[in-house]
Amino acid sequence: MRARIFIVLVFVFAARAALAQELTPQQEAEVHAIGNHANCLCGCLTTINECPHPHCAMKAQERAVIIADVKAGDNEPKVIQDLVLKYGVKILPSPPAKGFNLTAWILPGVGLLGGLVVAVDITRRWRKARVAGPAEQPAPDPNLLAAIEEEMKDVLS
Amino acid sequence: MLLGIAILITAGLAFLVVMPLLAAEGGSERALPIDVTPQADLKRRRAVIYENIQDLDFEHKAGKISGEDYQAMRQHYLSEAAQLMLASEESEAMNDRDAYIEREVAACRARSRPPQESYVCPKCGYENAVPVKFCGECGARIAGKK
Amino acid sequence: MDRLGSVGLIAALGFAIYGMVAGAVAGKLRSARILKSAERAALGFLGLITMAVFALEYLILTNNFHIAYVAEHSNRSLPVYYKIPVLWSGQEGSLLFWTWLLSIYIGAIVLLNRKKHRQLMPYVISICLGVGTFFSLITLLVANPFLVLSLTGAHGLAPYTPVDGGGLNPALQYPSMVIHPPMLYLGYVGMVVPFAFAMSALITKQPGDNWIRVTRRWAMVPWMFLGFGIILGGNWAYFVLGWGGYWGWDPVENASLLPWLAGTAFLHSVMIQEKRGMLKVWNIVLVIGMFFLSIFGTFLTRSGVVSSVHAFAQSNIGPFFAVFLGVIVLFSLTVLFLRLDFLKSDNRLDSVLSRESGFLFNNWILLSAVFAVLWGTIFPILSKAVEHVTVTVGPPFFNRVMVPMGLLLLFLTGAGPLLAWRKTSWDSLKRNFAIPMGIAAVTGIILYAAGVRYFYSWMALFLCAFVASSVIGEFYKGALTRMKFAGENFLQAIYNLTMRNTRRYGGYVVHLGIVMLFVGFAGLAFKKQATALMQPGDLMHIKDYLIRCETLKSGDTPNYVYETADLSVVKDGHALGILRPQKRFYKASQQPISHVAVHSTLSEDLYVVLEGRDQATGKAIIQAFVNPLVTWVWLGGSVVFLGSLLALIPSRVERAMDEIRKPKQEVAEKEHAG
Repeated sequence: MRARIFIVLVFVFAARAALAQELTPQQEAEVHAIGNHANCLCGCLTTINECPHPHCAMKAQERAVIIADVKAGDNEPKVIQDLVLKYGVKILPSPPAKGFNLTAWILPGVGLLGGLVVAVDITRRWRKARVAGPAEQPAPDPNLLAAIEEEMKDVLS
Repeated sequence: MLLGIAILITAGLAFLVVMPLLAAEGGSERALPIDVTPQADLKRRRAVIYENIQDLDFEHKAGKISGEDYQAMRQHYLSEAAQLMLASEESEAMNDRDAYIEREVAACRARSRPPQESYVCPKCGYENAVPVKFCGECGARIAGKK
Repeated sequence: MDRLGSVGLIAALGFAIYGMVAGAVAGKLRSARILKSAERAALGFLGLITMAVFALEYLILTNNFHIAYVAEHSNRSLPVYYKIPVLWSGQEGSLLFWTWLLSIYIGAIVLLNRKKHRQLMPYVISICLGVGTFFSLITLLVANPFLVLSLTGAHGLAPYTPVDGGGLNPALQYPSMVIHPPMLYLGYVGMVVPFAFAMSALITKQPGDNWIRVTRRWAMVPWMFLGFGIILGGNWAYFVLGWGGYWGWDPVENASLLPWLAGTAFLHSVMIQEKRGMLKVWNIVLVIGMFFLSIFGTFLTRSGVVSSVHAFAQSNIGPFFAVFLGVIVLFSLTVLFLRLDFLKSDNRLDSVLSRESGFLFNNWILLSAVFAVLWGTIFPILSKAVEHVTVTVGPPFFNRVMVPMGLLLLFLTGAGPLLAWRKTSWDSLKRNFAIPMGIAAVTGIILYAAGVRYFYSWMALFLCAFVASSVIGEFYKGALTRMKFAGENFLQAIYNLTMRNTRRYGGYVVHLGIVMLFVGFAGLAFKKQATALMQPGDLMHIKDYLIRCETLKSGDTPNYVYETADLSVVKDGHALGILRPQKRFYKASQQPISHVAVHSTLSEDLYVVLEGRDQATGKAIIQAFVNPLVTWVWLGGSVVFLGSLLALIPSRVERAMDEIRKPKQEVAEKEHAG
């Protein structure tokens, strides 16, 4: 346990040290921006910037990769690509719109449109059934109407 | 100690659960009463329409519906209510015919039995087993308590 | 005590099985005495589960660490008010808690319906206790909270009592966490009740509409609790997790949203059935869906199928839940198909431009939302199965998909009340829309001028203005009409208007709450964030706030050690006081947690987190956020809750309807006389 904490601390130190080493403000902003577009894989299910664990080793490791890449002059897509190579697709906050993962993006839209078609169809069928249905009832006789009015007063009072 | 209490509680509850099964079948508790009779259902359906009419009247007064739509829809609701009212009257008439026969039979029976034993409904002739204000079968008032 | 609990659980299982069978038999034979026996079994179930719950609470409160559950989730120095929630903070305890809430619902139904719904009750009890059987079985066999700790020693297994327990997860030691799970569970569990009533009505072919009214009423209760639970969860996440947000589209959050969305759809479309006798099959499908999704949500979060911050330790209850879900689907669809003829529509749609079709489109969006959330939540599982690659479906996905749907729904919220039942002519439509649209347009222009340029936020606020003015207009027009025709003053008119139709006007209040929620959501796009290393005397800027670090303190309590930063805040030359974010390290669980400090106003929150100390410099790492409009989310959630309560009060017409269960002979007599 103690040893593990120590290793974590070393990582934090390493990351902080790397961070401290001459990043221009512009580079720092870039690192921050990329941190919003890559997941922390410690199990927190948030992005690197949002990970709630202050001394998260995973976050530090990933950030170190980003910093190294940024220093090497890579732009954001390239850094992300590098992260995906190193850690897998799960580092992306949402699935890439390619191959099977494309269905993730398409299906909700298909569902929405399909639902619309069904809803419009239902209203249409309701309307048709109405037109084909029995014609208007003849006016009810006055006695009945009087009884209805009386009952209505009784119920609603 | 605690275990004993737990088992005792369980046994007590089990006894309460079994007790109704041991009671003799009979009385007005015999079968599950109908919650809403067909007659009452017709009236409830009319009540829904009345509520709709009330809403419609209100929306018209509030100026949300034009006069033409309002008249047409009100007419529509009224004729729906009229149909339900007719259905009500028909089933009532049927009940009356059945009730007449049952009443005669009941009267026959009543003559051959001491009257205090049962609470015969004056309308449908059903013999209620316990003192009741309303008939358990048709819901009519039992005479003398108007 | 643990024996008392175990006996309680075993006996409760027996009572549940008996009651399930007896209820069905009573329904089949229409026997009043068997029903009575089943009702008593249901109350016995309540009593026995209560006994087990009290036993576990006693064990927790008295630090009985020989019980594995207590040793794992509690510790000596935990304050009493955080010992009570230990009951629902772990897998085993929370399943017992679930079962307990279920038994309370069952007890309430039995006691409230002693004289009512006699035909429905046998199957209602049977179905509820069937679910009770499943949960007591799980609690007893798979996740028993009364298991005793033991160690393998020289003589085989020997009981073992640790000196102190592992402690409650520090993230759970927060006030809203004490009420969040009970509220949420009340929502999840309560979905059983409308399901049981609907199924029972189908099985017994109940004539009339009484059953759908009671189903709706019982659907409203869990829906209200679930919604409130979700908001409280967001509140907890905001103040405890320290990432500056309240909703992360986490699988567990999604799982709670699913039955809520389905319930919202049901509560709307059921009105078409009550008023017009239409959409009966659809409503049953929604009731089934609500119940299924609530159990499915429990399954998702408990089985470890999806990874989540909230997920309980991986366990073997998954297969049991999968089987149970299968049973639910099989049972409910069988009942539905056997009774399709019973669910014929009474009426037809008069016009596409009507309240009815408004509700239909509302259902379209809500169900599409259910589908999209469900899809996004289970997609990682599918992807793993198909492509053997783990993907993350996170906030960017859900925001892209759900925001447009949310806005469409918001529009319908405002448009619905402007449509009349059955038919709305173009003329009146134009007249009804003119004022709200006008107000919305003015608001939109002002917002644009004020610099709200982000499309979704602008659109949300524009629609909020539309909906709010349409809903307030409903109250206003209604009150004016009453003043004119009934001669009441304004307050009387508002009161009578609301009380005469609590469901509609309570619903409108809920809509106002939803508007407030969306106002809060619109603020998300304007979030600002800054991080700084600070020591006393250092300054930090974020937006127009100036933060100065005054002191850094540390301290010790029996439960945790802490560090606090005292930060004084100045905005536009006005001192706003001192914010004290805290970093705690809990001794028992050996876990750190941040306690956020927030300065809230209606327009924005200043939110500061003490992340810890920078090892190199020893300075405090302070993270600050400016979160616009967050307060509106909490306000909106409360308004939704209050509106739901209002809608639950029976209105005058509903009470009149309740009276018409037995035929009143007077009416018939009058007609005969006349």
